[in-house]
Amino acid sequence: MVTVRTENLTIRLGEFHLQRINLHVQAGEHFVLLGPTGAGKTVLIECIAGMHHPQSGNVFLDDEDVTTKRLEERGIGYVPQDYALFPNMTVENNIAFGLRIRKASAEEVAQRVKELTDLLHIDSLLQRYPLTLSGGEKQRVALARALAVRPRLLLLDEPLAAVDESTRDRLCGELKEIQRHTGVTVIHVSHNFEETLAVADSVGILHNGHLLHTGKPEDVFYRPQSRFVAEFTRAENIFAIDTVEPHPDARTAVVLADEERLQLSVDTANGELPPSPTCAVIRPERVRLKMSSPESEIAPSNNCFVARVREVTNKGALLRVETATDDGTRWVALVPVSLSADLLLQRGQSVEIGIDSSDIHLL
Amino acid sequence: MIAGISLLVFFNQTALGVKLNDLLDVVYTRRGIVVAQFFVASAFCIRALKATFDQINPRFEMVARSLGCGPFRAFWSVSMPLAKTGLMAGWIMTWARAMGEFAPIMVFAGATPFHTAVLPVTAFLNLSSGHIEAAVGVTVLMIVLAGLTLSIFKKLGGQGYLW
Repeated sequence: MVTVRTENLTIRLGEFHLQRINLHVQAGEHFVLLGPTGAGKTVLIECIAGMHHPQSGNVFLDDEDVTTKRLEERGIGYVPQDYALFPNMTVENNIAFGLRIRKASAEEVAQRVKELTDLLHIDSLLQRYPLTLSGGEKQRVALARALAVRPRLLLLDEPLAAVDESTRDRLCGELKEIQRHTGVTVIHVSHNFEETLAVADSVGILHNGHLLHTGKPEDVFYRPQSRFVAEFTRAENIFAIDTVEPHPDARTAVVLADEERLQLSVDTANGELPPSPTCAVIRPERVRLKMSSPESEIAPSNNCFVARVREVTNKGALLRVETATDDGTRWVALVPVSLSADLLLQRGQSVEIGIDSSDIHLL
Repeated sequence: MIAGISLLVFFNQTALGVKLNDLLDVVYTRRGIVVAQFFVASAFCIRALKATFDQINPRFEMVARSLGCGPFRAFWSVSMPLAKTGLMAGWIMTWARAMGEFAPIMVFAGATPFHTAVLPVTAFLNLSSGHIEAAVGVTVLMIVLAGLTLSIFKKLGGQGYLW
């Protein structure tokens, strides 16, 4: 178990530039590095692993500066996106490779291989070759091979990218369980939100070589620090703010947004109102919908609006409902499928939108 | 032919070449056959080696290093076993290419029967002097060798990158 810290880590690879990355991952934490394709996630973990040497900045494992240490001296387990299982070796020899390099005795090797194959449920695969394994099996073997040498830090580069959805859900649970069991610090690269929420103790968002936001998943998803993070984490209701009028009781503020078509009452009791906010962000799962009756009279200050359904998209357990008010403000809500029958959701249907003032995040 | 002339000029007309020839005695000798074959066929060998190593995922070595191997051991333990059949196939095809060389050897090493006349040169000399049976005999021998070489190459999983 090790604390990972980077200080002003800067690396240039051709046109790509990873700029002044300051990352802090606690010992025993499962940290997920999220970002769009080409953001620099892989370069960052490869730099922590020692595959690239930075132009400036440092990498610390606990308090030890490992910036100039070679990959093999860092005590890091690495699982690349394609798993890179040695194709000319059986599963058993793949897992035992690192132990044999360290000249472990035959009994030690056999014992550790058994321990890991039991933990990862791959004991039936020992004599098979990687080419004959499924994506999920390869992922487990690669994980067992990396864990065999008891690394201080485990780096996973999109480990679940090559498996189907149901396997991914199962493997997420198992990955978390293994991390708890071994206590190893994990840095896990992903671009999948469900995967991230399932395994992450903390999250970092990387974009164009910049680390934009790190924190607990609920902080990053519900209290993003930039418009990009809000958009990337699919907070679909983002409105440009025109004016903010603090209320005399200092517990609420009235925000005029979306070219003054939208008036929102925002809870400021926790003192999170930024000095000059530019955007109001409301996550779609925080938008409440209910049937609208013709005689409904909605007071805008209550954060309630009447809108018409424009599109309903099935997202599995949730429905994504896109609506628009008469003055053109677009709202997106995520509604559990179980509630959709009560709402009679269909195009043109009139619905009431309700927002809790505490669910509005200003940035 | 051009390669043979270039070698002759190098070993006879340049200071370095003359010194090397004084040391190794390669012009119009059996050693010259090896030099001419190496000069022409080494490019094929390098191309075959490059094609083999290009096919190996560089992450194999990175993973091996994360498991504790130094750079050389990672190369020797992981990349070399994976490249083995490709290297064998490459070397066999390069040897076959060298065995069929004609003009550079005749120009640089000469065409003395039973001394510097390699099989293709022997076939040509016999044909030129009217010894058709001998020429055909050497030709058949070369065809059999070519067939064997191709069979071994295919058995080793050759990729056909030499033609």
